[in-house]
Amino acid sequence: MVDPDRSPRSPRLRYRQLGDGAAVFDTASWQTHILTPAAAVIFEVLAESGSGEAIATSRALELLQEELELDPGTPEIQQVLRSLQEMGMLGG
Amino acid sequence: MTSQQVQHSLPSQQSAQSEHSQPPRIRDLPLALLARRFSTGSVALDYGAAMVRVRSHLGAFVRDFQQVYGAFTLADDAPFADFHTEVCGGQGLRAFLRPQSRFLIDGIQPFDPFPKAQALPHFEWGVNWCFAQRFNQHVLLHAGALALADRAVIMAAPPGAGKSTLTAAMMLRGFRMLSDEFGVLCPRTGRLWPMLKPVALKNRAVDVIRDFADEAILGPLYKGTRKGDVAHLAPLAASVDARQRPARPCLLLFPSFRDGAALSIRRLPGEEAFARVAFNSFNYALVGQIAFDAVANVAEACPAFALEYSRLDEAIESLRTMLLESPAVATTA
Repeated sequence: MVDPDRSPRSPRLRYRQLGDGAAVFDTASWQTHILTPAAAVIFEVLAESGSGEAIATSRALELLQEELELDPGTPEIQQVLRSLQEMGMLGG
Repeated sequence: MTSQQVQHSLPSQQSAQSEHSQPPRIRDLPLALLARRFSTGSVALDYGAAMVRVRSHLGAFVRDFQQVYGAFTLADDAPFADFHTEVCGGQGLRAFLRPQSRFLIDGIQPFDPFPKAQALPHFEWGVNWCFAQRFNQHVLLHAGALALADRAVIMAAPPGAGKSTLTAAMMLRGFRMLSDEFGVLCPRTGRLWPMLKPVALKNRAVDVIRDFADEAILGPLYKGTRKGDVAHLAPLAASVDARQRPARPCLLLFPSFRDGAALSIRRLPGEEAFARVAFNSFNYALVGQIAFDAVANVAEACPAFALEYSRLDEAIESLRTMLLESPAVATTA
């Protein structure tokens, strides 16, 4: 049996890696989020940084720029950030 | 308790037959006997995942039923039925004036009557409705499912993409059909249960399948139903006889028919396959995390492909190879 929840993140979220992308089930809202490969990488980095807690949006933007060299202003990244906010991963 | 947890014993028939004989198939029963069984409500049908009891006094319904359920046997003395249904005539004037058929589940009529001549398609849609509404102990994928031995392909597609035609053709070329409409995924075992019903072919697909194989047994053509002209393809005996045998998902396929198209097969990312399967499920939103895990197990284990085709045999042979060569591994017990 595969462990369905393999990396550090909020117990509220069930995360499943599916190839390079992923799917996340939010047990609070019962919403499912589909993550493209890029979104899955962002999710992993922020989840690891937050160790299961929400991290400040400003810190998340720093991580995106510094660790992943991404431009947080693009529509794609903004969409990912909105999803992460809905999942309770971003705060403040 | 569901019908799967019940051993369907047939004591009255077993005592009259040798140890290895099977109960007679519905096609071998005298029509008068079958009609009598229907009128007393003693017709129980084992679809695999579900047991359905049916009562009807409509002679034309019984005659059409015998054609498309010919390979089935009656589940005599079934101790349990998941659904108790009835197909009956219209009430009052509608028994005589433009006569109707009504579908009842537990004595309740969940939707409007159909013309009496369309009683069989009415019954088929009624059973689908019951199943989609109430069978939430399983994850109900909106998908066809077929197998070679115990390796199953799940085929999901929007209406009009040719899923039913491909499903029918695959059965006629030796695949075991589990279902045309419902991928019945058991969240506990990760296996697919058969929900074996006649394939409802619509419009052009009726002639395509009629011409495709001599073995095809098609029921009457019902013209001008709510879904167009419809005829039902009877499941073959090999599929019927294996309807208590679940299969392991090994391949996800999203087929689409396009006139004149060359065969094309494109690998799909896992997250896209997950989304296509989960969000087209009948009860994903209702079952929640259990459905998420079950579908994720399938999407993780099974390679997924979009397949565009115009020639059935070419598509089927590709599918056969893909299914047999799939490296899918079980992710649940």
